[in-house]
Amino acid sequence: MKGGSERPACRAPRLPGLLLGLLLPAGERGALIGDLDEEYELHVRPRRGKWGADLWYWRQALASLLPSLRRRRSPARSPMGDTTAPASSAPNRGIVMDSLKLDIRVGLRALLLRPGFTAIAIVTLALGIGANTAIFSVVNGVLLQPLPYPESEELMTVWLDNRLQGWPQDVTSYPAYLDWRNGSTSFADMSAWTFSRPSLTGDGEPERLLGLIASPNLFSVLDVDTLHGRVFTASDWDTDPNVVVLDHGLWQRRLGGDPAALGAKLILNGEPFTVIGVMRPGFAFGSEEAQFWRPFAPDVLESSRNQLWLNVVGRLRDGVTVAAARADMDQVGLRLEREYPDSSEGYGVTVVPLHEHLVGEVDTPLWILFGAVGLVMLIACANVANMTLARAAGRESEVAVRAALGADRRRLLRQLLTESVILSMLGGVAGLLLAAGGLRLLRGLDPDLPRLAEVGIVPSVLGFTATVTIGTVILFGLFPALRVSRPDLGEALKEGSRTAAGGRAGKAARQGLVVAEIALALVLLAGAGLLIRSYLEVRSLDIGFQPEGLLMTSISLPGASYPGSGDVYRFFQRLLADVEALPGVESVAAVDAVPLGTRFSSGFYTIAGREPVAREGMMEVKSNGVTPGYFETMGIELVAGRTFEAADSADPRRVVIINETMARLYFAGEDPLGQQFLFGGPERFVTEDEPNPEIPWNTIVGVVGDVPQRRIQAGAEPEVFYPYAEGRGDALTLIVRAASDPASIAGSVRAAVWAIDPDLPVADQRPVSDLVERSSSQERLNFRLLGIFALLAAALAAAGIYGVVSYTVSQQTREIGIRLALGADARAVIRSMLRAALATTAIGLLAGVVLALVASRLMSSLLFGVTAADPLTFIAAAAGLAVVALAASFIPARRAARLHPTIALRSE
Amino acid sequence: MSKNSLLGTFEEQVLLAVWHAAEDAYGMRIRRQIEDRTGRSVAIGAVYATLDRLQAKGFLSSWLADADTVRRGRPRRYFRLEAAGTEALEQTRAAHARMWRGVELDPRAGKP
Repeated sequence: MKGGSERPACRAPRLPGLLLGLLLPAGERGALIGDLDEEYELHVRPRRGKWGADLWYWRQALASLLPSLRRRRSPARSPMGDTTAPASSAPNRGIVMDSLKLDIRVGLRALLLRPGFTAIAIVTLALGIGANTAIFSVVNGVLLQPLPYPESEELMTVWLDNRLQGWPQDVTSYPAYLDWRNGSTSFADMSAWTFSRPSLTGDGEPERLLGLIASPNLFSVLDVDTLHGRVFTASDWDTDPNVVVLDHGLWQRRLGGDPAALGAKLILNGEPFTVIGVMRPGFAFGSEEAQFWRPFAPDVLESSRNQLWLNVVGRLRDGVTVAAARADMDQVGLRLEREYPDSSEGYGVTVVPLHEHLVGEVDTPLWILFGAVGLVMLIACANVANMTLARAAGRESEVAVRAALGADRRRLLRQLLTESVILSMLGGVAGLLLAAGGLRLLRGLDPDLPRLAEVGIVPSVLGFTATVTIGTVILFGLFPALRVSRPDLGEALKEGSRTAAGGRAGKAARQGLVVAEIALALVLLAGAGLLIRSYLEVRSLDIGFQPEGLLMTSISLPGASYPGSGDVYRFFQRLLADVEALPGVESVAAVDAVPLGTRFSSGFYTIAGREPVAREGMMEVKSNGVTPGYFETMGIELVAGRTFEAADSADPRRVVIINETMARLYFAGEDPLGQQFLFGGPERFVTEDEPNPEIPWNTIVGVVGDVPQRRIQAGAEPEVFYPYAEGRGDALTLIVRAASDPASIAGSVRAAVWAIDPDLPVADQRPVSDLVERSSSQERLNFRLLGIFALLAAALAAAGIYGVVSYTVSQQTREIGIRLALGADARAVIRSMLRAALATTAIGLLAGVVLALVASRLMSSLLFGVTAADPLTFIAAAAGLAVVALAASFIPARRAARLHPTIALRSE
Repeated sequence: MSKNSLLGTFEEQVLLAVWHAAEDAYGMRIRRQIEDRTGRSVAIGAVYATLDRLQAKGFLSSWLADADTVRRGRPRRYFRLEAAGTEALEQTRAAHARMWRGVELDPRAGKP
């Protein structure tokens, strides 16, 4: 021995060596694995620590698999022939590759001879692996992959922390954005942007586009370039600010994908913009559906500090942490509050990493889903393990004979493992195909998922699938194979228990697996049940209006064609009259901001006779412009007073209607009707309590029922309705109540619009019931997905129980036959079989309830209107699973009782 | 010596590593020689496969020795260059030299 120093014991992982050793000839096995152990302990582990060293060991083992397989049989000279032969002699030396091929052939044949077992095993594995792969693809694409911008972890979204209204992520003003940009030391640059929905006219059908208007440095902050042409920069403000960069899809569609189209002009809202660049396909920023990006006109510099309308994205300087950036921006915010108290007091700055902003809402549900499919996978593996155990038990006599005849234990182990590997490989391939199909389905189910475009079967997903597949081999293949090929098998068999793996230890293993399956299935069922109830609770919320039969159509008038506010007003008057006259239309009205939508404006308002005028005293409520007949058309209840009439739209009569929440919050105990009301805040006042006499007050004339403005789950916020009149905005949504199906009048409504102005794009025309559906879409998706996995789990658990009971029956066939022959009542036989199964099920359910209670706490952010420990749901899930388990036990038990005694006695 | 004893690249590296390792030429040392000198990570299985092949060709001989606790009682397999192996290395080196003689590379352009 070299040196004389104490050599440490080796702490290297054993498993990779064991697996690699299966492929190596006996004479070489020891030296090679010994080399790995020595290098691990003396060189790698001191340098890299345990985890790095273990990783190195695994990689060496895996990388050595292929070269070991490829080795040709050596000629006359035996490979590594040497003087000191290893103690364990093996009959098969060095002919590794050939014997492996033999094993594969034998394994395939064995599997094909039992097509039932093979098919069920492959399907079970495919379901487990497929579900896991599909969900992992989503988790990978949405949560794990970095955003498609260079060094995207440096990109942050910057928000106004609006402490007055309690909105930590609010939009900001242009002057504030400039102050943030110039005043921060942590950001390399920041860009401000907002959405734009102009009409595209000119060649082709008029169309409503969605795009971004941004500060000229947007693309330099993102650090991306165009596919064709160039991005816009600050210098465009000096030359021609009317430029636009197109999304690849829009360029294909409207400009024919022609590179020479660069320089062409697109007419947006009546103004021409020069196309200077096209982005690569798949690029997105701001929204997946944004079709263009253009710079602000330079007059944005003149916008007011009170006008809050901008999103901000920024790139951190190298090496700056998010915490440092937040501290920095807090300072910037404080400085602004001091310098501009009128407009900035009560405002801070919030910094949220862009990735978190995009996916923050979906990461919990996705991880929960990932956990759920993991459970399904475990159940699937448990099933196949049970099946394999049962099968291996049946081959024990064969194996014992072979071992007695001198077969190498390793060889036998390898042969049994080969079958498991084949099953897993086939299951893995089938699972991949299932996953691909499932992903397509998923895209259809939830098109709102952020970063959906990046979800796909990419190499990391394939790597995941391969890992899961190998894991399943180990989980269900290794243990039974080891059991069956153990050295003392012969002894165990001689002792007369007919099958050693059917003996007590084996039986306990199988029962244990079934208990685990039931428990896991219950966890999933309970979870799905909770989500179903959440969904039903959301659906049962009162929306405050009658959506059936309503059609909505968004119309936005471009300023270029309708320069005067009178033009806009006359257009809508005429349109409303025309549509009302259409056949099949019961009533029509128009509204600025549709409920359950995103368009809401908020503003400060003052109520007469109240103090104070200071900012904190301002109410911020939603405001909404409506035409007469709106409440009637929508079916919103009138609680007090009256609704608008045609005369209300004329100046100077100024009336408003409020909703119940506003009445309750701001007029508690008083009658709101007749109270005076002012739009606006401090700027409307000459001094602290003297309002500008030129600005008229409004009178509250009615109170209507609550309608949620954004999400149903959030309920209604205080809202003020004013009569739509001249000068009150150039975009309205038409609400039409159809006598029958809204889709039937859609065409005639569009025609009515085009009869007045053929160039006007008609956007967003759909039944209002869509909006209602969409507001519960998250809950619906959640329960559907988890529901599918829960049902899958229950089915697998049932299959598992069925398998185990069948197996027990087949084991005890002789005994049953004896009992029947001796006159036992068939029913008694069934009952005794069922008792055992029931006991197992009960234990499983109990364990499942405990686990489910823990698991459902993790889900609580997804629940609505139901607690995580809701007893009704748990009882229902447990009862359902119990029934299924009972049925799965009953069928094979009944079959046993039907056996003819003589057949049973003769069986072996 | 057969005419065709020009070595493949990896074979050449393995033989040279055996030479470099001298007294200490067993699996682990040989692998580390190659990894340290070429800078490429090398799988021990690939090294053994090549050692096996070279031994079959008569370029190397080997013997077992030196089990200890770090290796959990498994012995090391030591290798030694045989005359045929030395000859093969010489021939390969000469062939390299002949191919490289007079070569001047311009990294910027291909041949005109």
